[in-house]
Amino acid sequence: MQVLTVLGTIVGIFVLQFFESFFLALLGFRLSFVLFLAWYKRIDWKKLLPVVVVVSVAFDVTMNYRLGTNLALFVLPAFLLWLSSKIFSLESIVGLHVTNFFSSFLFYILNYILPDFLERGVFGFLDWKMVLICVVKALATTVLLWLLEVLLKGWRGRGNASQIRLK
Amino acid sequence: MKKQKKAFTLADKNLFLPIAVLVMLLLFFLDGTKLLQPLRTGVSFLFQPISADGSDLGSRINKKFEIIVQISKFQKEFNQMKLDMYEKDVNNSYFVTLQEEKDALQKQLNLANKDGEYLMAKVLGEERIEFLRINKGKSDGVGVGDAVSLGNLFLGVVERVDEYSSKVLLPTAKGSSYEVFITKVGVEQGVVNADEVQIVSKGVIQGVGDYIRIENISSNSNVEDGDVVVISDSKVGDYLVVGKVVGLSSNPAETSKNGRVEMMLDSRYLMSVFVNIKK
Repeated sequence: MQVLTVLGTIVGIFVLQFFESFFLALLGFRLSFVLFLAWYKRIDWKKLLPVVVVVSVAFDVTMNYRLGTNLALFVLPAFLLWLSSKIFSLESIVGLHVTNFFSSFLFYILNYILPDFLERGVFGFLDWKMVLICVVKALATTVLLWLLEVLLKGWRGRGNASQIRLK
Repeated sequence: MKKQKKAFTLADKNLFLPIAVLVMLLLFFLDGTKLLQPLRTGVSFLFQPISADGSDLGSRINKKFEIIVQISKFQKEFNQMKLDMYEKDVNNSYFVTLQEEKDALQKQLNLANKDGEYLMAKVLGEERIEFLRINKGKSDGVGVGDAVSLGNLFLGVVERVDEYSSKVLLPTAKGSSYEVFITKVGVEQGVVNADEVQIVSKGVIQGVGDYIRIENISSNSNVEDGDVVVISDSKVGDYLVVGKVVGLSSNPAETSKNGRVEMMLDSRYLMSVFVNIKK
């Protein structure tokens, strides 16, 4: 079973690489961050961390970034999520989606400015048009996360249908 | 009854963030020392082909949508291009003369005549204004510092090379600067209006992010808007056209003039480029 999980994870990383490059070229949208936010609270960190490190190293090489750049792009919004959880309740729908939006927004802004800073010590170019595009992408990410949440809840709910409950 | 305190264990804590930060810093440090080059080569071998396929498919679908959305703009451009073809035909006959002038200038300015090989590369997806990625890397002979061009037009310099792909820094990127000279080669009403290449002034171009600034133009020179900017930097090693001068400052009190450079080509629409591989 564990072998199957490992094989499935390896295949999944290759599939993710394809779709990440596909959506990046098509819409400038990073699918990996949606998946990262979806799994961050759901999967045990001991299982998630090695996958995130491997995926981020693969992205660094295929995007010709310095190693560690994509890991930084994932970690900084995750840090914002952690900070928000100390201030707001992430159990409420509004709290959860608002923090997801701001984490995604931070991710897309960093996507423009961080790689150049880590490579050459100069922040990448950012103007108001690009900030607006980041807002739209962050909204799209939040909506996708909400849809994933609804799908997972529906799947879990259907899973219990075969059980008989004694009251 | 006394409450028993739960013993503190690291296993109870979510250590994702601290460990991820440590791994991140370790990767930064090791990549800077080139110790992880074999890892980059291996990862590039495994993932670059699938990444290039995904990028290629995404780019092709993106361009199809763009054509549909901008069809009226493309029609106007097509009509304009038909008129420009006449002017280009005349210009082409002039380039033979330019080549001879270029060789003479190279000898004059003591630039090494590097006989390089030109490698055609495809631009990979994700439109960015400061860099572009190409599908040729170390295995094809590309090296850091190789100039990338399209015909006589300068596009950028290779900044980072992996086994099967490379990153090209465009002249618009913040922090990039090149020495240039300005010349008045041009064509008016189908007639070439210069007998030889004349260096009107030297200058320096600097990337600002979304445009290129040109500075240190001699205030005594007769540089005008529309003059052609040509790279004459030893980093590039060849004379390549960058673009035309626009928005030249006109303050007589300035000790030097500055302005902007409008690139001849928009890098967002590039599909193929040529890398000058240094031997």
